[in-house]
Amino acid sequence: MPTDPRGMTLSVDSDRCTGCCTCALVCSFVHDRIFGYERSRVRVWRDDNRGLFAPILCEQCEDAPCVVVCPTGALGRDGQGIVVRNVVRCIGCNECMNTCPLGAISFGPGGWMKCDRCASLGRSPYCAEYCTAGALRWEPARLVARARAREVALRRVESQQPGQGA
Amino acid sequence: MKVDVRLLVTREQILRGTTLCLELPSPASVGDVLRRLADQDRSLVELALVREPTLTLRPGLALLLNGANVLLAPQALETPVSEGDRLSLIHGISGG
Amino acid sequence: MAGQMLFVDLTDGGIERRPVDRELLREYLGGRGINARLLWDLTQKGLDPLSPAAPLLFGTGALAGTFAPNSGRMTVTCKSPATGLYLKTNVGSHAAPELRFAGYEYLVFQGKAPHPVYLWIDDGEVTLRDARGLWGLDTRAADRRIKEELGDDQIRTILIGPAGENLVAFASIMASIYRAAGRGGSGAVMGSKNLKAIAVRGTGEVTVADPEGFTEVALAARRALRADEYCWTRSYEFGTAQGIIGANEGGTLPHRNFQDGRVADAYKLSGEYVSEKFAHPEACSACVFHCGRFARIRSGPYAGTYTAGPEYETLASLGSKCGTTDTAGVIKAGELCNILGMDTISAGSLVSFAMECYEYGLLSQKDANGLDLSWGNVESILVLLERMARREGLGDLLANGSRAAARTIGRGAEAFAVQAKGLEQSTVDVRGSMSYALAFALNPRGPDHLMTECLAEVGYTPEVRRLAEDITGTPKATDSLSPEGKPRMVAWHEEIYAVTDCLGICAFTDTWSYTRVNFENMAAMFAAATGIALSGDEARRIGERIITLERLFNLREGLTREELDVLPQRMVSEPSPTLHRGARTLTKEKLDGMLREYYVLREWDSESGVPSRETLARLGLDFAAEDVMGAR
Repeated sequence: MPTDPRGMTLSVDSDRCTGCCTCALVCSFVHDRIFGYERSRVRVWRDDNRGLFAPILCEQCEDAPCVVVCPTGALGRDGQGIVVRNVVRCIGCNECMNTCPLGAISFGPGGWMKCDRCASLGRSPYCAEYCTAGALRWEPARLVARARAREVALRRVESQQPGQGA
Repeated sequence: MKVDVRLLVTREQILRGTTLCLELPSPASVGDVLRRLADQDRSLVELALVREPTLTLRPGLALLLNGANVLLAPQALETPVSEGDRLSLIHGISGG
Repeated sequence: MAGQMLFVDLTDGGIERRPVDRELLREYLGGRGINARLLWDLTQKGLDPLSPAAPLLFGTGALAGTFAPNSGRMTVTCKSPATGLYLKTNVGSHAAPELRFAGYEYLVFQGKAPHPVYLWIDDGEVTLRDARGLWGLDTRAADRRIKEELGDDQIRTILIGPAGENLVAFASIMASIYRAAGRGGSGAVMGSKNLKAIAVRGTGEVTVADPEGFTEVALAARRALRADEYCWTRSYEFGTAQGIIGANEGGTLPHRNFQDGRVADAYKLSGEYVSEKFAHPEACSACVFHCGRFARIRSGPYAGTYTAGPEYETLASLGSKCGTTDTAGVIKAGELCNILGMDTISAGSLVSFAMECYEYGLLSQKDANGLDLSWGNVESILVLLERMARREGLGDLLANGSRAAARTIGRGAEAFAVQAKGLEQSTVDVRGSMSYALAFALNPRGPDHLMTECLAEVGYTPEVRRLAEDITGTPKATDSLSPEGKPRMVAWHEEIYAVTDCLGICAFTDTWSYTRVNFENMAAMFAAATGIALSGDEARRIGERIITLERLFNLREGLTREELDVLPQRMVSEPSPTLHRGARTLTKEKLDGMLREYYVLREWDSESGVPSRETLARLGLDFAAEDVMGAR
């Protein structure tokens, strides 16, 4: 989970996702002025039967397989650490989509799509701003592990002392 | 005079079903009960009551006297209480 | 917003696309409103709701698929097999946005397929497919089979379970397995057409006429709702069952079929308890509140149970109303209703009706095919639910609804059927609240809170109290037992609910967090989305038009105000021992007084409750005048 130069990161916490898909609606709209679950850079996978939801989006991997596999060198990293595409070099071979271990790159009806953390809009990610459930958060990277550790620690303490939990 | 006060604001109170039995001099009003509660338990004040400018409930909460919403009536704090009355402090939003 | 209407004739398999008429959109806004007009046009007086000619309509809200707050809902409209009257029922999940992304805003089904079928909407490709292999399956199994057959697990389904196939009077239509268009038996209408399911995949887009304007107003509304920290937190943390404790303390949580209104350990049904022990939050499309739950039971006799919910209504209806607070048992009962495709409100009502008949000796253990129907017997509840859906034994009788079942049983059983117009009352005791009583009586589909929930009467914040006073012009508005101001209170809520339903916005949006979403910003969102100018006042007037048209539908059937504007007998004839120390709080005279004031307010005839020709003209409903006056 690489960070931008200010030490901020887009953290993904699927446990908190309620499947409302607001992220996808906001994403498709701020980038392309349309609404569509399949027209978004972030997509929410939903298992209706079991009530499971997870937002899927590019994590800007440190050692990004998509960058490595691209035969024309069309994928690279910008100054903020975002994996970006050079449209002129891209030949549309789909190798990046086939390789991405997260399934976060798509060639859909809207063309090539991948999260750029709203860098192209010159701001912090919209999806995190409107994710009221807190599943997508734009926050200082140094706090992510600490917050998770705190949750785990509290759960353990509470399970040791039944009835004493906060 | 004894009145039962059911505090059902926090998750813990709801799961435990907290009921306080308060002994008050007669005659007494809803306001007297709230003042006694506020004096008795500081944490309750933070959770449910606002003291200034006048003693009242935090927005969103409701106070029922034997099931009837009292803080909505005019001069609610002066509503008299009597022996055996049941006051419930609850969350007001409902519906599903 | 270039969606289409899809007309499907199930008899001959014909599928026709038509553009959504802009004039219709201007006059009825969308969803519930347009459905109401289509139903009026496509139905004649006296039509059998389960006959092939009866239409079944699905209408997405005008803002579904956008990020307008809580906007992903859809209205299902038909003639109700339970009441024989107008029925609209509303459902969330993600089905409505998916339909819109596929390019469709309305689905109109007529006719009856020669054998079970399902409709597969794959963006522009629409086909009817053989569903003989799906018939008899519960909603969970049918959903799985459809996704396997079509090879895509991100398809959204809208389907019926065995209850719908068996024409149970309270069969629901389920979206994404667990979200119900619950009330009034729309599932039976779908079943009568041999239509098992609609499967949708939409990879396209929804656009709005004025993106900048839309962004401004819709995102501002989202932020305003989120800023109501108190409301948001309660909703996200505890869901709709946050209200159980308050209802119980108020003596209005139905216990033993409304014989009284309080249980000793209500906390076991509370959102606080359910969310801690069993459930996590889930949400419909574009929701800010996240009030939905998804429950799992990991241990005990019901281990392995999993389902969306339980909601307030499910917990109260299948729990306290049936005399139990066994949380896991109620969740299990909710799971059964969801997969069998039955409304949890009415299903719980039928069980508690049977239990009261059993208590008073009108039904014996032999009548119940060996079941012990003592209050709170969870095992019997579960078996009875299954038998109702499959129409076995006593379940077959109960599957006709409580009005019909009580008539058959006779010997005074009618007194135990807490229903009006043929619909079982939702799990709110209206004897404790005059605006609820009036709203339930006027509700065209029958007594429940989902057309008009007057929460402002509770006045839980100073701002809500001010609103209640502004609407009614009296501080008595928040005095639950006073009839004063209640007609205005009900009229305002009816109108705002109509507008939210048209837009596809969740009804809770404007009554859990009053004023943040209102006539003005809903009108502004509609205008920016459609390019049709609309003010807040005009939106409210359209709300009035829809309310009136829905009443006209029932008047056209030839019913009088005495037949239409009624409450369950128990509500007006028996006081509740847990309300005001057993004092009588609601009487027929009190209700009639409020009704007459309401008719005058609506400019309907104060005696007959029939809108005058002038009123119809004022509301642009002249087209209905002949049919309605002719029916009288």
